[in-house]
Amino acid sequence: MSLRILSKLALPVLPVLIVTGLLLSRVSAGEKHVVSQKGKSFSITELKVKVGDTVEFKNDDDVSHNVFSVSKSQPFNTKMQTPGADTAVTFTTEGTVEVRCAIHPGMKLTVQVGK
Amino acid sequence: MKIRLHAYLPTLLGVGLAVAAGSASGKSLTVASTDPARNAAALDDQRDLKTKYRRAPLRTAAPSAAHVELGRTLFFDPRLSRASCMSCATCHNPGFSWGDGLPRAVGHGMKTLGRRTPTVLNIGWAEAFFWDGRAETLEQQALGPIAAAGEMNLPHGEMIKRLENIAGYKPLFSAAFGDTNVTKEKVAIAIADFERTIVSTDAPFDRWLAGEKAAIPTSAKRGFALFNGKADCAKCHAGWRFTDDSFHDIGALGDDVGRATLLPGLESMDHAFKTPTLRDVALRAPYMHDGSEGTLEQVIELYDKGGRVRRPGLATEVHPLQLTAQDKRDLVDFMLTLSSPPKSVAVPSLPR
Repeated sequence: MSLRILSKLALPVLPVLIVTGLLLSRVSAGEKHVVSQKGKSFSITELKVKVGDTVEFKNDDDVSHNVFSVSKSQPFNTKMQTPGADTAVTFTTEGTVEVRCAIHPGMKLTVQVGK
Repeated sequence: MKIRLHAYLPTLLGVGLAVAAGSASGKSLTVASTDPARNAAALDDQRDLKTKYRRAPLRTAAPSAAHVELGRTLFFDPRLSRASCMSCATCHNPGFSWGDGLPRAVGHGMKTLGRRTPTVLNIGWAEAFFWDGRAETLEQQALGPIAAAGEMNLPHGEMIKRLENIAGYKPLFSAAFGDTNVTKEKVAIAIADFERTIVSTDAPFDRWLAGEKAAIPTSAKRGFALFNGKADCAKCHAGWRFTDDSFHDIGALGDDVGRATLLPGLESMDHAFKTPTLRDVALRAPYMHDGSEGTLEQVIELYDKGGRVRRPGLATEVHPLQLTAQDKRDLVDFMLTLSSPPKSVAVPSLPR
């Protein structure tokens, strides 16, 4: 009885579950990159990633940072990252993303997001 | 026993030196010895910290003499304002360490503006401009106040017409750029290049860095250790200019939201302003973006409390410090050693 109810409930949402699962598998299948913040600099100034890849912004500094995107195609904001904190950002749109630290104006990173 | 002590002596000395070196490069300098000579030696050492304060070269090419001469003339020319009574130097007055000595600047029509005039001292090394960082280059910054309605209030088109009608500017533009055409880009380049020559000269602190032990008092040496340690000042007032150009809410009073106007939605930028240089800082009271702190002692009080106001975006580097009265005096004494000897500034004859 309970199984029949469960199957009745699950049937209408099955396509949604499948699509969500596919999306999640696609995201998790992306490559992971790490960008360190140390000495008030990003560890690199240019990074090439693919749609679905994740970039982990890691604060290896002794001061706080606030990494954010100035590009409308991929807005994000890590908020204030205290020393030791890391924040993962998945890049979902093809294009160029300019990344900055709102606190330290010399910290500049360009992320090229390709297919 | 005697033999054993001799055997351990090199090790003990080594440990002692390592502890001394570690304390000089780490969070704070602890001078525990009762031997005054040894304390003085430790205070004068601090070699790991000293290397962080050596003067850096300009990131841009050295400005040409012709650019500088045109820029100097423009900087001191009040005809760059609508009322022809206000030049860049009116607010960035060399006699007030390239500021104006006022809590908040006074602009067109003698109206008081919202923020204090920032100094242009050592501005050629900066990575962002204005209190909120809205200009990314010195050239962009140089043009801003000329056209700003509340400041000099002269639209750039009108500025160009005025300069074209002053015959004496033609040879200056020609020497700087190879022709007499006036453009706002040329004006910006010339003023920015002149500003790149506004550099602090060696202060007692620099002579101490260079090895002159008596250049600064002992209290200032303790202040330097506190500045880099317990008081956490150097987290932002870093490098030879004593600023990393970073933006923070430091818990200062006032309703001005600062960089949040430029970057809305970023909590850390709410009430955030640029870290000012501390070179010649004792010559530039009052302090903060709006002159709300009258003296260096009051500024130290603000930081000791962990800010006068605690908003959600308060910088994590600002926290109660538990400074003693002696610590506070030492920090002020250290900042006094950053004042350069007075320097005369050539004021140009203005072309007609």
